[in-house]
Amino acid sequence: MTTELIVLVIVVLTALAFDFTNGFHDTGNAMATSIATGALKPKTAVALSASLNLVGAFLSVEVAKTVGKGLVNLDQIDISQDGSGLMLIVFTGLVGGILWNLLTWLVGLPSSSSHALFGGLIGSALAALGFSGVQWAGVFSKIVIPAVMSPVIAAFVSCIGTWLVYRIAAPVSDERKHRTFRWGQVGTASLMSLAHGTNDAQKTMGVIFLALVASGAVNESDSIPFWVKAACAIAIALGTWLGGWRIIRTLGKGIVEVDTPQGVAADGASAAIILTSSHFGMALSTTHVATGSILGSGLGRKGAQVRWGVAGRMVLAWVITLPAASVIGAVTWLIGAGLNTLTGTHFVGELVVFGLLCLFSFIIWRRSKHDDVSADSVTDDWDEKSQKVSA
Amino acid sequence: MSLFELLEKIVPVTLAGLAFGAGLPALYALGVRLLAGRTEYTADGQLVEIEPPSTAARVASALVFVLIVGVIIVAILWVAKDFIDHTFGWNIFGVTGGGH
Repeated sequence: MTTELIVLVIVVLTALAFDFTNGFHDTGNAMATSIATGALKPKTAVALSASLNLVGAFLSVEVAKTVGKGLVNLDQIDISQDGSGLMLIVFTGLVGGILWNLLTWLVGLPSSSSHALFGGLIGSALAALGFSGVQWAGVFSKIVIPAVMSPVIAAFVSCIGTWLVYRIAAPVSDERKHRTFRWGQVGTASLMSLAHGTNDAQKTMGVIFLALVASGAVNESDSIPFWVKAACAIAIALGTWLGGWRIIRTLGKGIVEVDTPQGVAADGASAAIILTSSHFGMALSTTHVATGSILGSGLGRKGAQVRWGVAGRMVLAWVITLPAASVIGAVTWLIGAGLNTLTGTHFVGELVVFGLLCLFSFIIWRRSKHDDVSADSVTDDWDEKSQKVSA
Repeated sequence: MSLFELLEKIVPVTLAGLAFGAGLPALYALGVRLLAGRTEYTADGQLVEIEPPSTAARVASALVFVLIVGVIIVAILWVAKDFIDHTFGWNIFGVTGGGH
């Protein structure tokens, strides 16, 4: 096995690992309210969401082969002679995305996985290529503005939807309300899961394709190999199926107590905005939309208490996601590139960074076991005093 | 991106969000309300059904739900529109590539 092949395998595995974290980080976006209201049992919910993510991922076509287009100038690297430079940027960008996803998962905060991925890539591109490696105007218009607008628009729509739903359904008996609105929740949550698979698995497919091009395994004009599609679909579905219980708990129980009709309004707002926004040239982050909708549904229901402390921590996580993932991407690039220069190779840096990734992932996983959140404890009452994600 | 360009995008996104994201849940609530029958509060504050919905109300409610199912089918086709266009050469909404 040549060293190039070893590096390619590592990068592909890392990309799939990112896809996996993307899955469990975002399960809550679609399923948190259904789990919180008891419309679906926790394990049923994640299994449903995982299956739909799997189907959704296979619906991805014409995958963007230029990952991070308009954000980072990866195409300024000449890979006709040697693709190892591009490989390291993509690889350490992924490492930045994964580690930030794991850290935010540990503290139960629903941050955007796309922001984490693009943050990581921006950081490694910045470290490798300098300021010209990043298209700042693109970062502003494609990431910063949608990030600010998504929760506001979603909260507004969901607040009005919730108000309408409660007003219209006021004379309906409690029992019937719960029974019938359950189905509305399952429907909207399913739609969101399907859309998620189509959108998010595609990003990883693009990253893997880029790595394959950099390694010379495929030509840029080739179409995406089927195994890439299948592997990404399976990775995101497995991640979703694992269930990011910590994040589901924050979304379903932490921000506001969710009632079944309110869940329909929140999920309906999220699904509608996610499905329509990109058509108008402003693709909004699933995570930010889902969170904004849940918060808005709390504002629209009389007697619902929004926990602003939890919401505030979440906003803080959103703000620092991009810079934090960038820092990790940049630092790991410097380590990798430094070691490669020192040893005069093109694989020692990658191997060491991969080792670091495994080490830190293991530490975070061990740490999560101290205050585990599982399918059984995900809907326990929220502790007002500690505000901690674990019950 | 100028402020004008920004508004140009925010307005349609918000309007579409309101129409589908608040309108459909409200329509769903209407379907549920038609099934309400006659209800009454018990002493402990529970709202209970004391008379089932009439046949006419049931039919009207079913029509509302059929409409909603129709919209969901359209939404699934919308998610899959690029796939359908790519695989079967059928451009359902006339807008492939851009949206999702």
